[in-house]
Amino acid sequence: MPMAATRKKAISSDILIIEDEQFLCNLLVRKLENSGFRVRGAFDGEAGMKAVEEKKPGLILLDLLLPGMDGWEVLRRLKGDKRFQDIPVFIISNLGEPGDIARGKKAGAVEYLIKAEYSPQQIVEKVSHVLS
Amino acid sequence: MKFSIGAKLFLSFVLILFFGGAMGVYFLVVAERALQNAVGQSSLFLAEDLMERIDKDISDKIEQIQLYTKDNPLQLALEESNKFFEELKDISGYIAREDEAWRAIPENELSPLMRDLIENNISGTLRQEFLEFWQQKYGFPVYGEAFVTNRYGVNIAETGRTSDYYQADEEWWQRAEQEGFFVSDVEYDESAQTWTMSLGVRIDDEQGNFLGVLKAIPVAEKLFRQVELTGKRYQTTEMKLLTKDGSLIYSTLPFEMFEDLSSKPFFQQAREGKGFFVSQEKEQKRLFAYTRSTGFRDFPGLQWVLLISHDTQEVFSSIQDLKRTLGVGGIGLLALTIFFVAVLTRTILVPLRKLMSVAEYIGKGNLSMRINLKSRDEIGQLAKTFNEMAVKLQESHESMENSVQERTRELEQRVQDLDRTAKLLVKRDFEFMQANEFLREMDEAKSRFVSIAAHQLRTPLSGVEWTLQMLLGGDFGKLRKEQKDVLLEAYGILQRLVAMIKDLLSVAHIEEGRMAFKFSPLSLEALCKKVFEASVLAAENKKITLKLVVPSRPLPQISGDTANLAMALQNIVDNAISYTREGGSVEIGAKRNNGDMKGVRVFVRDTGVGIPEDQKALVGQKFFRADNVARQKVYGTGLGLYIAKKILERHDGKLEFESKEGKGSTFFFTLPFSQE
Repeated sequence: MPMAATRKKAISSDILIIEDEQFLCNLLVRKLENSGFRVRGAFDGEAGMKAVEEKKPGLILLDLLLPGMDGWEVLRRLKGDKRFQDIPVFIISNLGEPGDIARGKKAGAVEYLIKAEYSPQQIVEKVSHVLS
Repeated sequence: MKFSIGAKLFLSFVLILFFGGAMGVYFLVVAERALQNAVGQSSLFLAEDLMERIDKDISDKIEQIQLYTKDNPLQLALEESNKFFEELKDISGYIAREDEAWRAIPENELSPLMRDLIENNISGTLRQEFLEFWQQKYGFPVYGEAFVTNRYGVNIAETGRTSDYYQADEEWWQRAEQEGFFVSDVEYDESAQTWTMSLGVRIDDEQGNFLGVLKAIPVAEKLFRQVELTGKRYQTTEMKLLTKDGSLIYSTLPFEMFEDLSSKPFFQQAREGKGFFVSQEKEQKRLFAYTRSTGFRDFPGLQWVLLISHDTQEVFSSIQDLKRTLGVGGIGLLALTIFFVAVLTRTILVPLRKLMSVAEYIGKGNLSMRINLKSRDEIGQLAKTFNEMAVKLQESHESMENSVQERTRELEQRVQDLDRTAKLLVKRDFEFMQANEFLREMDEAKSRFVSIAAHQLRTPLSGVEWTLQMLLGGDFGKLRKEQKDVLLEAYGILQRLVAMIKDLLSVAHIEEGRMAFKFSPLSLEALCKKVFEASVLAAENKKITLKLVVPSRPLPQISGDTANLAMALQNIVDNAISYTREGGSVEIGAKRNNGDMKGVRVFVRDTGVGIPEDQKALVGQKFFRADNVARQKVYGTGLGLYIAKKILERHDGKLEFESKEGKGSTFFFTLPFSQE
């Protein structure tokens, strides 16, 4: 397994996953940890923002459809805050229409990944590419 | 300024009257002057005639006296007396003594010499010739006295006592001796107590020797009376004879002898020559004609002035009559004019005004007004025509009003109908809108359901997919071969499910109108190539030969949405691969279309199962699957061609096909060249 190598490399990288579907969230956490990243998970917008306040992450994977504060609002707050606006944000969602994608890019997302079209392995590759 | 016709008529008549009057006055003046000239001229002729008669009479008297001086006894007596005086030693002394003695005799006494002179032969003849002859002829004496002197100026015979014996010291005697005769002007004779003239005539013998002078003294009044200075022309005609100094010596009216008239205007005006004029005298205007005595033959005349005058009232009575006639005529004409104007006004203006006021009433809309005129002239005709016009106007107005009312009623009816229809329409529209709204809501609900369902399906599917991927990727530990095969099969099925959901989402997007199209120029050959490459693996898996057929020379670009067109072509190719058995072939191609539509034709030809003839019409419908493919248990949703068809329609293209069951199908569409 090439895990040791990747873990060492990404030791300082902290990834925050804001995803209300716990099963999917756990799958991603496991996949990213297996790839050597330190990962935190949050199941709604408020928890996500709290996690960001506690410790500024190196990258955020953000779902859009969330209970309470949705992903759009989280993105807006992050990009409106000088402390956090430099954090790269990947939107991971099943809202895959061109309008949504354009809106996400405009709001400041680095990537817009449709869940159905990307496997966990592909997501890791995208994240690694940004954090390296 | 505006004048009414009446004023104009009246003005015209006044003008005509004025000019007529002016002409009348002018003619009167001309006639008066002409008459004045005529009367003046004739009076002047009369005056000249009378004056000549006076002068001729005086001349005749002188000639009579001259004739008498040739009398033999007179000549002899004078010769004898002259001889007597010739022989005297002191002629002038003698004469002076005798003259003094003569004048010393009182007036009522006679000396022997006087008596001898009065009663001698010669004086008898004188008395006979000068006094008695005229007395007998006219019944009144023309001469007052007559006497004869010898050449030394002393009396030799006389008809009565003279005041002096010696005459040669007097003017008349000297002038008579020198000039042959002398006529004195009228003067007052103290001895005779009367106004007389003196006619002195020189007496010569047959040899022309001076013998003496004869003096005859006519009474002035009687002299003119004898001349018969009548010549009355008019009742008021008056004749005056004045001396050259303006003293009146005769008049046809009672007059005072020698009255001084030199200061009278008529005398002032008659100063020169002859003529006539009109002058105011007292309260009368008189026409004067005047002339001066200029003598007759040897008699040079005494410059007397003869004036004949008439009262102008009488002379111009004809003019006055004319004036009166004209005045009466003028007044008559004026009255006639007023009458005429009144008649004209009544027959023309009054009806015209009536006509005007009725026309005004009609103009204001009172169409029932009529004119009541009985006259049959042009105005009556006009009124009749006007009434006919008014009747027609009223009729047409009424018919118009009726038709307007009718139209209004019709319009109201139509408006009501329309209103009813409109209400109905509004109601229907409302109902329709409600129904439409309901349908739209239903449709939206359906699409929303599809969309949400598809989306909600994707999340758990993603979970399953990711789990399978991670399992197969070894994230959960190494798998046995048997485990891995089963998972791969599950993953394959899952892939189909994902594709199906993707198709459902596409349909939902298309039907909600949410599918975004971004048109730009693109190459259909490149698109074919892209889809060909994406399909190579699937074809290989089914052992199907996949071919790409494009022309060597690049085709013109068309305008389209790359992603959506790729999806459409992919669906068609997926379909072809799905329904072609192992060993078959699928051909993807593009070529220039030169038919009705200039553009690029894309075709997908397969050697598949084909489409049954009776179901061709259903191809492209949502969820349609032909019986033959359904029986073969080939995987498919029946949405692929529907999506492709819809996308192509948005590109002005039409999905068409040719198919034969069991042999294969060819699907094709043509997109027009890009406009630029």
